[in-house]
Amino acid sequence: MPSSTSNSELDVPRAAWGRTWVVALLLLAGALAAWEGWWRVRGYQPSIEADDDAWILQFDRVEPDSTIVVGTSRIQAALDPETWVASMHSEPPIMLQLPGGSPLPLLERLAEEGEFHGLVLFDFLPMFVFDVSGTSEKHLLALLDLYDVARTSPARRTEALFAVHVGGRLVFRNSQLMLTQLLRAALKQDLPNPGVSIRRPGRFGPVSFKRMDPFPKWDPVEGFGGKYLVAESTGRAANEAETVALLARLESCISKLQAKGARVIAMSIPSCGERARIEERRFPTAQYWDRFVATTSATTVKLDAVPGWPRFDCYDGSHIDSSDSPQFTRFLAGVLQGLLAKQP
Amino acid sequence: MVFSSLTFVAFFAIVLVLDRMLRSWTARKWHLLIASYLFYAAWNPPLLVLLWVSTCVDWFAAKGIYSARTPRARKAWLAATLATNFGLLGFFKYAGFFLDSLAAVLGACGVAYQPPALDVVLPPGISFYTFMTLSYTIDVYRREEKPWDSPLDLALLVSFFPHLVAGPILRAKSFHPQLVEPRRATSDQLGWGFALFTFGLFQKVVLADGFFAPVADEVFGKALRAGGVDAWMGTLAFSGQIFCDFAGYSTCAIGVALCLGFRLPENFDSPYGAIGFSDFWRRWHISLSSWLRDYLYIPLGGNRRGPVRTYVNLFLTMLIGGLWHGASWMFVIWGGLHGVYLAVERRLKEAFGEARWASTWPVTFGTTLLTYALVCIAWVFFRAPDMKTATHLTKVMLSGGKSSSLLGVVDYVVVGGLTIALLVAHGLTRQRSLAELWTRTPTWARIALLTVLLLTVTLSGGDNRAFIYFQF
Repeated sequence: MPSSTSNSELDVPRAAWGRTWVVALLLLAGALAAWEGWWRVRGYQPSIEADDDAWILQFDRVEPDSTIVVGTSRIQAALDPETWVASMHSEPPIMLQLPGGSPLPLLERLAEEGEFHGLVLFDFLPMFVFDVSGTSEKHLLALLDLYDVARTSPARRTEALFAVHVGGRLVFRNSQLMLTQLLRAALKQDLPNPGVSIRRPGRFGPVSFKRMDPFPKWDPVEGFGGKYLVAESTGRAANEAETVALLARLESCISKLQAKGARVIAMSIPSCGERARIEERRFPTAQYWDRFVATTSATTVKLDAVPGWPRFDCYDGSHIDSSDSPQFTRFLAGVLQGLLAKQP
Repeated sequence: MVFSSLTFVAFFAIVLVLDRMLRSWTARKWHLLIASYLFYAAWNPPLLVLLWVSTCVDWFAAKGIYSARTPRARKAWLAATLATNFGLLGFFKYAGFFLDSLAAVLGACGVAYQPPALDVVLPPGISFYTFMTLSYTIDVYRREEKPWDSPLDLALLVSFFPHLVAGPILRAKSFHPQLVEPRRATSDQLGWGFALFTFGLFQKVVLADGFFAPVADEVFGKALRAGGVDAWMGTLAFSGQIFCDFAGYSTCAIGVALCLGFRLPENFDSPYGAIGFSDFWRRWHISLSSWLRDYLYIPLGGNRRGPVRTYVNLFLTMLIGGLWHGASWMFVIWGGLHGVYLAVERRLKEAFGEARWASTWPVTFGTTLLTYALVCIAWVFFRAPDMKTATHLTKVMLSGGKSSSLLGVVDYVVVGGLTIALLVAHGLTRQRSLAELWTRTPTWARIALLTVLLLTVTLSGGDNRAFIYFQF
């Protein structure tokens, strides 16, 4: 096709346009239906992009008395919204966590601006909270900047709604199945696995590790080799002075939130296997989590230390499988109800 | 609201249906005006005020210029509109840039100056509509155009949504007849308008965003690690991306306008098939280059004041053309490079232009490839975030550099293949239009082509990147 197509000064081609377009659209509809069916038969399910717009849309939903979730992909994979509704008898929380992110800039925003007095569930992962390379806060800072511009953009909001209500119902709109991605994947002989990671409305993101191809990159005992390498090199652990400064930053915003009437519950979700050993070596519990617990006014809970913790297998070393997320959510709901009942 | 979004598809469907339902020409123009304001407000509603200010100022300035009794009064009115339009553009687009540059200059002179932090949102398309409204007032000043009778017409010219945020930059005198004479799209115009919209989306969504952008982003994002092959591949990818992105937008704009019965001027004409740089600028962003020619280069004296002044004028025009793209020295360097290219080409043409060998096909072919290669080197400065990145990339591109590691074989195949296809297509379509090729295509092939293009667009539209030229 010639790429220079802007020659509108010339005559418009005469043709039986009505017939041309009707046949083309019918063929398109048929092809799309066949394409959708092809992927569904192979186990793929619709999925919603948890992209920047989705985050902005969620942040925009925050009301003064909302329950929000901040932290990392660990809580995103672990929470099941239906189980939450059944167990907590309330709407699902607003998911503002980011993969590999520290929520500090968001906590600071909530502490400094507005009248937020709701509940903050803080998935506290020292690897990201005490990373001083700047990487862990970078995405969130960019999103907050984007939010300041985008919240005034009706087009952006409408498009995000379309993405949920139209794109979210069609398998072929899954980003992994986009044509250009597929072509590249096919050339690299690395086609995606069906139904592994289904992004749901509200930025809930269960991951079905059990459906993953066990070979060649996948070791069910040790988890992702690739992920472990990432864990080895992610960020830079804070030194003593930086740790003290970060603890002070955390406490500053937590106490400001509490002064407005908000409740903050920081929880540690355990990792498994080699991943857990790497995290412990790079960000020792005693040096980071324990010191946070000792200095914070937030409620803290180490989930694997709670009696009755079901000891979930996290297949990639970090995340709970989607089949376990209802059980995790029920367990978490029990813990939260207990903690909230104790708090004034 | 970008053309490649579902929001725009829904918006346009409603606008088109209402447009077909209304009978009165005035009512249809009001409908299009309101739709255009909604289209613009969809980004950021308060910024509509700027559009209104620009429209009102040029409406009154044109009337003032026309009715002024003395040359001084005419000049005063012109100065007022230039000051307002460039003032708005300068504040919203260049204030931070100039203050930072001033701080750097003062710093170099040993004077510490901390510029105030300006938290200014860049209004989409401000460079485009500013140039367009200015062309109206300047044409009236030059007595090439009379002030329009209808403020509705002027408001619609400024805000007409197909071209509002990224052109083509309309000229008042060529668009005016389309606003005066009632028009409604014929079935051929509707059919062809939708086809153009589809072609434009394909360029943007599939080629620019799907294939070229990831490679360009990878190389320019990690430029200091790039070897020679990486640097070339990244630059070729960006050359493809920016063409497909911007030409795709223009094609969509022309198609959308045609569906409403309006014809917009062409903006691209196979630019990578250009033989030399003056030819390139007759084919790339035609509405901007012709604006700069008519309202800057010629008023500066063009080529009428001797060879030295001609070179200076060329260089100045391209520098300002570069700065028009954005508040960054990188754009200025890009414009300056093209100014140098044009000046050198002019000198070579003076020396060898008449020689018989200069028009033989090997020389023509070689010149085309050389033009493309030098255009690509200039693109490095356009795309690179800073001078360090740009100099590293050009250095490794010209020297071969160290071995490459950023990209894989798949990227080479994709970018290499598509670049060759793009160059061949531009070479073949230098003298032919798409409409001409379409007319020669059998019906079944047209249907198949439209189906495949729509299918690939639908199956590729997950990224939803903004058009590059929105930021200008």
